[in-house]
Amino acid sequence: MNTTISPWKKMQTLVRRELWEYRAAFLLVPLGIFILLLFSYLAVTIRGLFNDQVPIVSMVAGSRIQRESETAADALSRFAEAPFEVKERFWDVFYMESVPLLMGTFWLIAIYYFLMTLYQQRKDRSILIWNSLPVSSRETVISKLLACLIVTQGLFLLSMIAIQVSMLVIMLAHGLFFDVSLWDTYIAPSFFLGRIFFLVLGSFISAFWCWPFYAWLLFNSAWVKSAPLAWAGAPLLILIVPEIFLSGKSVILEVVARHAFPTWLDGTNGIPSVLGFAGSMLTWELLVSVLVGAGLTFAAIRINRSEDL
Amino acid sequence: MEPVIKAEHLRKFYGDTPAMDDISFTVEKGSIVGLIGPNGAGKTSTLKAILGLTSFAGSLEVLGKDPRLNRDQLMEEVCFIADVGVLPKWLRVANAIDYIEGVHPRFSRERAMVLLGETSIGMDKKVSELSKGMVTQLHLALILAIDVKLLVLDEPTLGLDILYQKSFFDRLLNDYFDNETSIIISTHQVEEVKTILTHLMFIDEGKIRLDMPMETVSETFFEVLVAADQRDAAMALHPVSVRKVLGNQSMLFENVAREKLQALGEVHVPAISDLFVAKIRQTRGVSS
Repeated sequence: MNTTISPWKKMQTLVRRELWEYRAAFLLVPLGIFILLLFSYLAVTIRGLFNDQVPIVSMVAGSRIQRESETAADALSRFAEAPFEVKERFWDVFYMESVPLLMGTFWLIAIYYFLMTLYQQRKDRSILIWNSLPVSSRETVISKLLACLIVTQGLFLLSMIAIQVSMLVIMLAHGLFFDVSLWDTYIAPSFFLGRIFFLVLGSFISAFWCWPFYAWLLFNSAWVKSAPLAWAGAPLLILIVPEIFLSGKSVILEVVARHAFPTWLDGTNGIPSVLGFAGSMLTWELLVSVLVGAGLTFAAIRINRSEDL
Repeated sequence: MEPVIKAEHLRKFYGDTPAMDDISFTVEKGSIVGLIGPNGAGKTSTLKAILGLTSFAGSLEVLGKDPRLNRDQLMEEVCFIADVGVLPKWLRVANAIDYIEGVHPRFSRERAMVLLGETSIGMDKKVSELSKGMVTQLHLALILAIDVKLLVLDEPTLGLDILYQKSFFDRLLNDYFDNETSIIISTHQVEEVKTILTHLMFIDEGKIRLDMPMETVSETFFEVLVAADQRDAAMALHPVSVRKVLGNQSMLFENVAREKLQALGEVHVPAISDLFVAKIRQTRGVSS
């Protein structure tokens, strides 16, 4: 029998519990999206080979590398000889195509999770068993934040990296059929590792940026008796609607929207948008976000503990 | 010896309704206390106070700790079953064991496996795939595998049929109780638990109406099926309650010598449920 359990092992167990409960959303969805995207790219590539088309032509709006009535070989030769910056920009947008679907899905899952997680355990009365074990409210709430914002977001990022690696491999395999330099055409301009690094970094900075929003949902999940979405949304509407009515615009809505929607996930602007957004986040507003997020998380911990069964 | 629970002047009100109205009691090591009361009497509030799950006024020490301040440490030595049907449906049996092993320092995986080995519950099954009886067995196996000093049970068998109720309490007594552990049970199924109790506590309207060891109960209360010609003599002894049984009168007496009562009719120790009804009616001033 154990005599002590280290805080690290305990937290691991608590996070694993969240993964068991939300297995479909946290594990199967990123895996499913990865498989879906992988087969989509494979299908487009194979179809392109049979139709003498560069497979990425249909994917990157405004960056078509194959003109009408041009063969795939001619188009790729012309693309290979284009300036490095052009190729860099092209691959940047190409790889970022996979980001909105994956990270947008993660964002929706995070909203659902934070709204429901504490509410659901009161509703199905499983709180009775969780409260019968030596786990504090602080440990419970922190484990939920870690499970979603670190582990699950990490799994979605892993899925995104896997799909980008797969896209690179597919494009290299496709390139083998043509007389172009794989390094100069596909690898060097794609800034591959750098982009992955900035995506991962940007995602975790974004988690701090959106912390007040997620913590607000968690706070409501900790106390509402029913309809957590309505309770979370109503106070914001009560503040925003009169503001719009009186002044024609809403500063509150702008602030909420800025911290609720990770807009950098719009991949159409590629790395510049990641860098730009990361840069815009590293301001005093990020510090305020962290403070507000921590405050609301503390409130969720307190109310979750004191809430009678 | 320090009592396991020492409560003094506990108070909690929901509006004007008392849940705990200046109640004091102690629970000694190795005792099994039945906390009996009607709905809304304050049983659950009292148990929640013991577990640090609700706010209250007064002084309360559980295993030497104030549950309001030291709940997390306390829960390493206290186990709690509120309802055997609350294991979440998504949980797999193997996950449940992993989870409790990962958070509870006094959980024995080996013991849990032995207990589960006596059932037909598969490790890969989800709770949603188990029958209600199996969920009860699983919950009990998980709890019985935790070596704690105090077990708190709040209506643990509510909703179970009589077979599972009996099996639950039999197992609790045979597999768990070892004179080192104290158990406090709140239940409506008083007759089901009477054989395992060492102490009896009645609560009503937030007040403790009776608190005594079971052996004292059997020395203090007697029920007499009073012979028709002894009715006036019996009434002179101020019975706690009088009720009609098949045309005769059954009277319940408190603190009247058995020898004196034997002259009135057939004497026996009252059922807990009859004693409970009599005491609650007496304290509420309801005429029997």
